[in-house]
Amino acid sequence: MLGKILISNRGEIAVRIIRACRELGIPAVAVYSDCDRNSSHVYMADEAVHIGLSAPLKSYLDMDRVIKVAMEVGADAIHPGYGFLAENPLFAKRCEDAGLVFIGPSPKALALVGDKLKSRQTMVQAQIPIIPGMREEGDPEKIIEESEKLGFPVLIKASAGGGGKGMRVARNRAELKDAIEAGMREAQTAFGNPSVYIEKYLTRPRHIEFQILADQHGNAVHLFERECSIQRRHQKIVEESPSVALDPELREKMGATAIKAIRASNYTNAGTVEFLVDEDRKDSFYFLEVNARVQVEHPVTELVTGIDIVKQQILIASGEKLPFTQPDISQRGHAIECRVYAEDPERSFLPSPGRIAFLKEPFGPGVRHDCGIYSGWEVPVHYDPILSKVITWGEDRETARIRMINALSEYVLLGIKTTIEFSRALLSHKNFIAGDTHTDFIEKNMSGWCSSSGNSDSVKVALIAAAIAASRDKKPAASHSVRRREAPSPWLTLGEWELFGGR
Amino acid sequence: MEFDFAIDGKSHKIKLDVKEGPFEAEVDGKRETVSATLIDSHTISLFLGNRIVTAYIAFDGDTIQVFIAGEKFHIERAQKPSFMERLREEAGPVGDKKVISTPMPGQIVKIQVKEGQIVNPNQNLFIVESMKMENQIRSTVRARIDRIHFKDGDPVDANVAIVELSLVGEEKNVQER
Repeated sequence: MLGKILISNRGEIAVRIIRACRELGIPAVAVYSDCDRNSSHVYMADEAVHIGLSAPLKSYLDMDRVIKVAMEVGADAIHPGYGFLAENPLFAKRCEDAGLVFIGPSPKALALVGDKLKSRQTMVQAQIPIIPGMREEGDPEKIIEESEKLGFPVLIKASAGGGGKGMRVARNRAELKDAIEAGMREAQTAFGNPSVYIEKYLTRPRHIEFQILADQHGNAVHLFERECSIQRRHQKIVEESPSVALDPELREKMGATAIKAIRASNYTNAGTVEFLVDEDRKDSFYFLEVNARVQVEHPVTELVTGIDIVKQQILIASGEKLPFTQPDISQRGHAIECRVYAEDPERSFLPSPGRIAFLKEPFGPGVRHDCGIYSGWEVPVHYDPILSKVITWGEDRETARIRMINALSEYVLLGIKTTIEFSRALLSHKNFIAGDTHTDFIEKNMSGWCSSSGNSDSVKVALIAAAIAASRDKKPAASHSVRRREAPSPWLTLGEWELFGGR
Repeated sequence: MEFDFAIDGKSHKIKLDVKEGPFEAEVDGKRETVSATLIDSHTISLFLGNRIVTAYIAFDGDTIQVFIAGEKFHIERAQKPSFMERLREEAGPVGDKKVISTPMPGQIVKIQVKEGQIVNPNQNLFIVESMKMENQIRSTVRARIDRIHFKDGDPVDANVAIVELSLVGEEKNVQER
């Protein structure tokens, strides 16, 4: 078993990994940048080390610094979480060379699945269906030429990508040049690699992915599917498991294909095989990519299978065998996750960094809240806008859905704009209730969404509450404390000057 | 105490006589008997009629954010000019001037126009990166670029003027009419 783990990440995922380490009795070391000095993961870890400036390239993406710190604190492994260095084969190799265990796939497997084009080629060889598109990298001119051949619309994707970064849709030739440029810039910022390629853009598919666990002894299982069709800016916002679109036959077929994809890549540890399921041909699905990391949406799988994916990642990296085989794993009930982003859904999901003035987390039966935030914390501009995740579980989809709506109704997060109210409205939408969830769901059903101003009664209550708060805001705090005291205190007659000795 | 508030641009007048025990509140001329308990600096429990409502409150500049049973209200203090009004004031008294500002703090990735250039509605003006995402800012009008205050790579705060425009042609005539 590993002796000490350094977590080269931040936010809610760093907190999640620290919790898994605690359950396994392994000390966890946090790293932090300038602006994360007061972040939750820093407080929760057994040790915390400053690694640099707020800009990711000067801290969380600084491989030399992260590895040096791991050696200095005596860690024997690094958990990269998601994003930053999580899918960087060079970093995994550097860890290996330094004698550190990288909690993830081998550098070779990471290089294969991380390069989306090589990955596509491997899948073709393994006879796994892929979406038509480029099979090799090309310069912008080559991409334009390939787009003409493929036909519009096309999707520009980062070769080293994931998480929607660098992804752009070009619906015609006129949009293509800007989309390629923007995709390349964003890919460079997010992954340090500007390479992009194109795929045929399916206009109304479902995004369904299979969670995989594979140990170093040749055993691999899938933990069934997650449906992640509901996305904005090509980034997921609501996920659920199981998917309403799969019947047992298709589920088995896709699960077996996911295992085949993992075996073709010699992949170990936790990973996810992503597919698109075509709306028009319900039994046909296409391989998209392998996400070689723990994913944001892993809790929905944990809730329906009862398997702790982060703990399994650590155990696999320690060299242990998977403690179960495929027949041991079953789906029970239904789980839904809503990601809470610091974004303004009324203004095209523009980022909304700033100070969290007040936070009250949701609780209740079947409610899980994964977060790395607290009241008074400043949400920085340097990182992803994800703040937290609310995950609910129920015996059936409807129970999980109602629990989610109730949880979001209790979730108070003031000071910045968030997606909480938007998600509540989304889960109440008749098409979501009907399970009619496709990648164009938000565009089709929620565009122009505005937060409700409530009925006249709730507006009245809000105005009275605001007036009471404003009336207190105008009074100096001292006057309240004097009024509330039963007996006058002589100290209160003295000003600050006297109390501090006239300094 | 009297307050002029606005929600979604609609004005409301509130009169309050805060004291121990039940007190009278008047919202847009309608009286209501209320009693309130301060739970903490962000939480007020209100007793209205036969129900208790918990309101969570935070101040955000000129806005008071109030959360009640899953709904968030952004209440503006109406006596202060709104953000858009302040921008209009900054842009000067002439109606054909506009200021395009950053919607959030970040970094200017690319300025895509030049001073003196005429831009059309939906034309790209600049890209600002924040929270690892690029955000394309476009013109909503046909206009001439008068001034550009920043260059590629500059860090910027929220609500800072990046580009100043003057409406031209039909747009100007429409605005003047």
